[in-house]
Amino acid sequence: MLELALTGGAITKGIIMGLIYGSVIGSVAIGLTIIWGVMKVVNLAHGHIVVFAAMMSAFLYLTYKGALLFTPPIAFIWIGLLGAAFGVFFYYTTLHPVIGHVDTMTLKYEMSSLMATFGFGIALYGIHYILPNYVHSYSVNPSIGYSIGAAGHTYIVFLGVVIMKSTVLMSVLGFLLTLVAYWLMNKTSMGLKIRAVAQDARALSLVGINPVKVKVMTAVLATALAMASGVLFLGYSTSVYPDIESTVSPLCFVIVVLGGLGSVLGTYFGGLFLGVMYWLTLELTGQQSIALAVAFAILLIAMVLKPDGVFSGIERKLSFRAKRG
Amino acid sequence: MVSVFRRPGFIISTIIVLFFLVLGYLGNINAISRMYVSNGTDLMYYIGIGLAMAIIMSYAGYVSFGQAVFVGIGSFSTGYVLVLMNRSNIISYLAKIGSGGRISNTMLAVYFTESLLLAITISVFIAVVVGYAVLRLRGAFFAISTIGLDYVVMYLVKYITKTRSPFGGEELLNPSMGLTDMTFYWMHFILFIITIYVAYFVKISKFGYGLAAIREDEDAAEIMGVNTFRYKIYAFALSGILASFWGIAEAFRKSYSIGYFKLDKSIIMLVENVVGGIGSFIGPIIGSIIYYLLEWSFLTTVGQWTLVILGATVVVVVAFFPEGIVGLLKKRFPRLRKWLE
Repeated sequence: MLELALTGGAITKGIIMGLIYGSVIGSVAIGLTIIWGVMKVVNLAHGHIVVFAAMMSAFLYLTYKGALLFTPPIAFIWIGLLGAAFGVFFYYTTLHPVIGHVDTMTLKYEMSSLMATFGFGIALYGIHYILPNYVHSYSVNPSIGYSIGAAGHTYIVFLGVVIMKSTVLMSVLGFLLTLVAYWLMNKTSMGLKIRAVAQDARALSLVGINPVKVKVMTAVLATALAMASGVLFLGYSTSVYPDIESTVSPLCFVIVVLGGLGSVLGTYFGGLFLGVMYWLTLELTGQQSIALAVAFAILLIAMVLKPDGVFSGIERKLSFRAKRG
Repeated sequence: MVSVFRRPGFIISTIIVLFFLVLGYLGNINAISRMYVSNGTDLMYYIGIGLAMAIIMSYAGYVSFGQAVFVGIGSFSTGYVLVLMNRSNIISYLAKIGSGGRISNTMLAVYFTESLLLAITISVFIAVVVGYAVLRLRGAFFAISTIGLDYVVMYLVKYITKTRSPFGGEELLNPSMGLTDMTFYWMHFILFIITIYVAYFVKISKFGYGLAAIREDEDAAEIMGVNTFRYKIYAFALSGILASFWGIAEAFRKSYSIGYFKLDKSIIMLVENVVGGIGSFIGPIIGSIIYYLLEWSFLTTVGQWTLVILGATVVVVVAFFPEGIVGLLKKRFPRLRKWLE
């Protein structure tokens, strides 16, 4: 039977590790919340894009023996920018033929875009298997190359919990990535256009903005964020293999639903909540499968009780306060 | 009213069943023909899961990402019956009759029935309890919540196998029972007959018309006196039972593995339905056959490129034939309409 290890140490460790994990996985889910919440495309390729970026950066990192340019804290910036170009490719091959000239997304279009992104996803997954010198998984030594701003030991001890420095760095970068995404979506005219095309594409074209261009922008933003966060995910987990997609992708769905579709900060907080729940269960029971079962049970409960998202109010409150201030 | 036995859907499904019957009888000649038998087994599996999904997706219009949970439950039931309950029985029986033996048909029938009963019980329980909560949701929300259902059950089963498997870890390898490909073929065939006729008779029954009404307009259906909520739960449970059959069949053949719960399985079922065309009985069958042929021919010709080309094909099909094959045929060849139920 399950044995619960209810000690203060376990709870502290669960919360701290959970916040670090949640920050990374929350930033991974942001690309999905933008493309799903705003463009109403249930992007099944999201997890594949994330893992693709992680695999690519691990491959480069190991090929160039840990050169500074390829260490995750630096690589996530330029791989993110590369992701923008990849987003254009993704949009024009997959989404444009299906929803390019659709004004309002009905269930039918939602389903066909879902199928198209699924096709793109498995094609991307297949690419891992046709590359020459294929390796089934990459491991990155966390002690090399993460020493920027954290020279010396690989581990720190905080409140009696041993934490890897690289994971802290990744969670901070995840938070920064979230802030960038929030700023792009809520404070720039691009974000305004993106939110407008979701509400009424025809009205947008009436005021002289090409809806197709805005849709490209959405796909580009979502893909760039996905690829950048994929590198962070590599930096956090230090090892990566193509099949890890089957864990990442459903977790992203849970987080996006918790955070409320289209809400960047809500998604980030959803990630933190999920991370804490996952690590607490893991620490208390010592069983990873039970921890993941709890994570998905949260999804079921949240969908039934509050399908609009548990943390969707956070963004509204914050922007309201900012306006008054 | 045309007699049921002269309706095109019934005739087509009978032709398919007869095809598999003939394949089974002609199959056991030499190595090459046995290869076709193994292909036929795979094809029955693909059509089976496609039709299981069709009841909830094609008939009722509810897209579920989590139907793989029922395939997983079926395969886990078989793993439970063969490995956790009866492994020592099978091993001692085979040791008694000497090398090269196979388990008796009675034993096989008993294990098969036990797996069926276990799978049906768990599937119905989960479908009714969870369906009661999540079938109030519609569209993408329902679809996503079924992902949650799938993964909750998957990780709980993973925990059970981890703690109870005789091999340690997550494996439940079937003990060798001395069964041949032909045995597995006929086991698939039994389940195939059940699946295809159940799927067809649901489609033409009052229940099926109720589901069609739900698919077209749920609110209108409710006003017209269809008990939509109860119908949806029945459809979810029935779809689950049929899906669990295919988990059982495959687990007898290839042992239980956690892979049966993975999202890919649900997506394959979904692709089959969409490629074939939503709203019909023939659609999922055509979709499954096409999916299987594509996957198989790519696998034998292009090897490692399979997934890339398959993915690209799905993208192209969705972009250019959004109505599915059946929709396309109906538009191009109006004469065929009668046959595309």
